[in-house]
Amino acid sequence: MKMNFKWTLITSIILGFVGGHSLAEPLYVQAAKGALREKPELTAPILQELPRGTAFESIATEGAWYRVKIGVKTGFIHRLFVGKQKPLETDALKKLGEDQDLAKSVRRRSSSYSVAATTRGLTAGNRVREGRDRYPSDPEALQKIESRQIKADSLRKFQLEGGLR
Amino acid sequence: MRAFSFFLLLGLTACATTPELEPDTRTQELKDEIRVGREIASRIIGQYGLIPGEGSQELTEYVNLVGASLVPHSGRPEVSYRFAVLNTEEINAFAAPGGYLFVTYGLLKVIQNEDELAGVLGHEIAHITERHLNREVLPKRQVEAGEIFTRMLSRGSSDLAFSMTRMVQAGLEILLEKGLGPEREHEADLGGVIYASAAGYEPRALGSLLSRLEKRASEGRLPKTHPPFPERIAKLYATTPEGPASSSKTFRIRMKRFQEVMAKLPRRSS
Repeated sequence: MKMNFKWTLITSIILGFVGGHSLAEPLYVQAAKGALREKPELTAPILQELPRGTAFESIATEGAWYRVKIGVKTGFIHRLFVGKQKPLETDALKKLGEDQDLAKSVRRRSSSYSVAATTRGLTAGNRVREGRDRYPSDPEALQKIESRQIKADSLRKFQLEGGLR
Repeated sequence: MRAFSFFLLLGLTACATTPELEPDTRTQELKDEIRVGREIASRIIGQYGLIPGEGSQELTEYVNLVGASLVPHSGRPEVSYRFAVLNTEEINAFAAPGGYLFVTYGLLKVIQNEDELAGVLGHEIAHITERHLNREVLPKRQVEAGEIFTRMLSRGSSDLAFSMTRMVQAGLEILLEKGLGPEREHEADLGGVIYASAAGYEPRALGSLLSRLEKRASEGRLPKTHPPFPERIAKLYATTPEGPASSSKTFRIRMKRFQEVMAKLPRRSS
């Protein structure tokens, strides 16, 4: 019985490691469309465009490319288009509510630079090189950037004119 | 005994795979990333300022249109990307977490067409999709039990602010002084080509720009935050097409609109 247990344990450990590596983790297409290409090359013919959220398993890797089988087609997809997690909804942040007021937040951070410097025992001279004095912030200009909206029809027109996808 | 082996096997298998995170955890991660990114972005603008004056609004709008054309083809289209032009002759571009991307006026003057600009913006987007700076400065959500405890003790104030301060400062030091390191820059170069070409831009354009920048670098006019250009070009051409950019009709249309927007800016001496 003791012998049995020992061998079961060893077999389990070996199987565990082998299993862990051979059981491919699912990967998900993150881009709006992920090109499945004939070869692991950027200019290789596209076999199929996989929509965002498509789950697949990688058979092998070749450099930065995953070799995958989708239905009857075997091809390659670049790892920069995929991730190990299901893609987030594009309006995911709205569910958590908008972030705190930026200007207020930046002011608080500016003051916390001084607090942090004091905590670390820095002299007033050193603190000039630290935090806010070293990297002054401009929350108003940032808000200007954040308030800029691209209209969907302007973007579409821009893409069509330039022959973009 | 068999049951024991089964659970052991299951446990080992589970250890070898990536746990699927709850969407709310990941959304919270994104929210944290934006909080830190906003702080960093605000200080990058504080350092250089946004491009002012006549034609700057049109240029910023144009840069946003090029950037927005790349986003759906990137590895993280759920991020709200913002693109802006910094008022400096320094030749550089920056990506702050949360999707705040900057290109300098100095770099725009070296760029010759829209496809090269797309390559640069694609490079910066790749820094975001691959979470290059996040990995250096942002803690993972899973290890934040201590943070929750700290938040409870400090009632959500000082210690959290202190760690935020450190993250922002470390991020700025990397972006403005130390750089992200050669491996991440090579990966971002590749991302620039991949995202731009997926959107319909010429895949050779970023390589052409890097070759032109190499000459500037030899004159000592570039910051040292990026790896040497010969190394970048060699790495890029090892995996992407080499040669002159296309001169298709749509390429010429894109080049013309880039030149028109740039021509509207007042001339300055470099």
